[in-house]
Amino acid sequence: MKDMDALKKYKQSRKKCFLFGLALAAAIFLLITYTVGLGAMELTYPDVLKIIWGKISGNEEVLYGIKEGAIAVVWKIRLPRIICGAFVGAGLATAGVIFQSILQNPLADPYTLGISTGAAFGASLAILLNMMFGIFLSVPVTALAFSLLTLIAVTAISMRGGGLVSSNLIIAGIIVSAIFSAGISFMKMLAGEIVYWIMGSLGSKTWSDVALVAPVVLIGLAVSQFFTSDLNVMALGESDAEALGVNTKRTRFMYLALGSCITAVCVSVCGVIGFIGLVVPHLLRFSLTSDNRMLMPLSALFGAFLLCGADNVTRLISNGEIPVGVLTTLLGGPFFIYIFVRRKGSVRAE
Amino acid sequence: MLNSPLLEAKNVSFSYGKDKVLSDVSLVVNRGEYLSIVGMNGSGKTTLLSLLSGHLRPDKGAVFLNGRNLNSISVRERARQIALVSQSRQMNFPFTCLELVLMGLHPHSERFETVSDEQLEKAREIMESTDVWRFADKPITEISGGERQRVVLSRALMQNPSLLLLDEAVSELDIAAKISMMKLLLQQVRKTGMSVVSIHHDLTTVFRFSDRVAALKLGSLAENGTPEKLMTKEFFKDVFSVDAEILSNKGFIVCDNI
Repeated sequence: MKDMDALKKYKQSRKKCFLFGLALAAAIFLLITYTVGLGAMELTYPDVLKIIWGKISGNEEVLYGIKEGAIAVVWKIRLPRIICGAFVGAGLATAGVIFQSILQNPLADPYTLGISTGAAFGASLAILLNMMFGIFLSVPVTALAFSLLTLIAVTAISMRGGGLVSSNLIIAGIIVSAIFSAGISFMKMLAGEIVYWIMGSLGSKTWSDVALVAPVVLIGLAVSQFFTSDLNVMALGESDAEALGVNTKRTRFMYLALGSCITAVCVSVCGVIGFIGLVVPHLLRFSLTSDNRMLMPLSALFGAFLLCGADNVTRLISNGEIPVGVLTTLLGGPFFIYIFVRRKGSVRAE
Repeated sequence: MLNSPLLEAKNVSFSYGKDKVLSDVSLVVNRGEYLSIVGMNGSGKTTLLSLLSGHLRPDKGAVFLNGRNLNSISVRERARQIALVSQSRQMNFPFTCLELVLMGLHPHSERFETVSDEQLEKAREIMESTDVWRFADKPITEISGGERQRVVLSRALMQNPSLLLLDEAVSELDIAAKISMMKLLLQQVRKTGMSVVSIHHDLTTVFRFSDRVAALKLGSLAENGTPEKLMTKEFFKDVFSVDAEILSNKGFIVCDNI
């Protein structure tokens, strides 16, 4: 009887994950379409669906009877912000799964290697230079450039320090991050506007932000998913992974580049939004599965759902005054302490 | 085919920076034999095993698997033939024991290939034989060190290798579990023709279960032969610097002279 239980449970856990994924996808659709109608200008659910369908299909007839202003609010202001939030949430959670497995550390996150601090430094620099010299340096592009520079610096330091192993990468990340943090503090002193950007916000995002973040997240997720069986084995450590037929150097480098690109684009669009990349994979791993083949897409969906939800809370309750990064960290921090303490009780001491 | 060479290390040397760990070691592993590697701490046993697995490349000399230089074989192809159970068994992620054992299929599986019912049945058989099936659905982070060793050994058997390399893989097992695991491994060796190269510190286990013993001393191969012939008073004195009393065909007693 026990035999049947373990095999049955194995098969059932796959089914459970699939159903949970479907439920999450449906919940995201409902969350987006429902909350886009909420705000200072309230719209009915059918009107929201009509606006979205009319704009996507190009069939303007369905928009008949809906005010121009309402269409503009939904299509030009709220929807890009909400969709951008969904992609950023999916991206940060995907990067979280990647970094945790590659660094063999369930407490790692997309910011562990200092990628976000590099991006924040780049963005701060662009904001400061724009203010000082009246130029129009693109904030996302500069942020992206500096985050990639951070990745190059971190991997170079790690290689010089003995190789691309997780402990070297984490130490190199801390060093580079500390240097950029000092630079950010100096620029904060010169320009107060930087503070708000760094706190992480989805306010005033446009379709061009979606166009920047969506392809990177989708392609990153697809490539990550293609190699997830290798990522599972990588989570066991280098020598076990190699003994199971994985080219560890190539796989580690590919995932580092993927995770960094996803993080960089997310940070470059909306600043530093903490805890999504840490909490989402961790929570799903301990409640559903550690198998990255399922954990990866589920984390992307759950990350999208969570950030969308959190942004709607800040948008509707505080009228967008509280940056969503502050809320995710304020709520995510204590929640993380709770799951960490609970998890520790279930991990066997040696 | 039994007793023909499967793996051959020819005059291999290896250094970590300026620290020479192995020098000019030659060793043959035959098909269907259980070869134990013994030696004092720091004698180069784990490094030799890493060279035999292909994880490390020798500075000098070469390792051949079925006559092919190990360096010319891809990591994946190597993993289809050689399984390694290494010393570090720290698990940070709560994979279930069954999931972990099924990872042994990785070098044989295509991407997105799902696990078949036959493979699940094979995993069950292996896990029953290693006595870990009763916690198949438990997270690997929630079982003891000895139980984890048996799960990792099950994964290595799932890999269906022609050569199994073990680095102190039974060191954390209690005496009953150790004997039953060694019997199981020996049964696999006899039944399937699989070869095992295993590092042991427990010389009683070495004496009782090995077909052959290779002893390392300061990075060089000191002795090589059957346990009965090799494990003499001189052997203990030379390799481990201890006095031992040999009980004819039954084993030995190490005297407390340190």
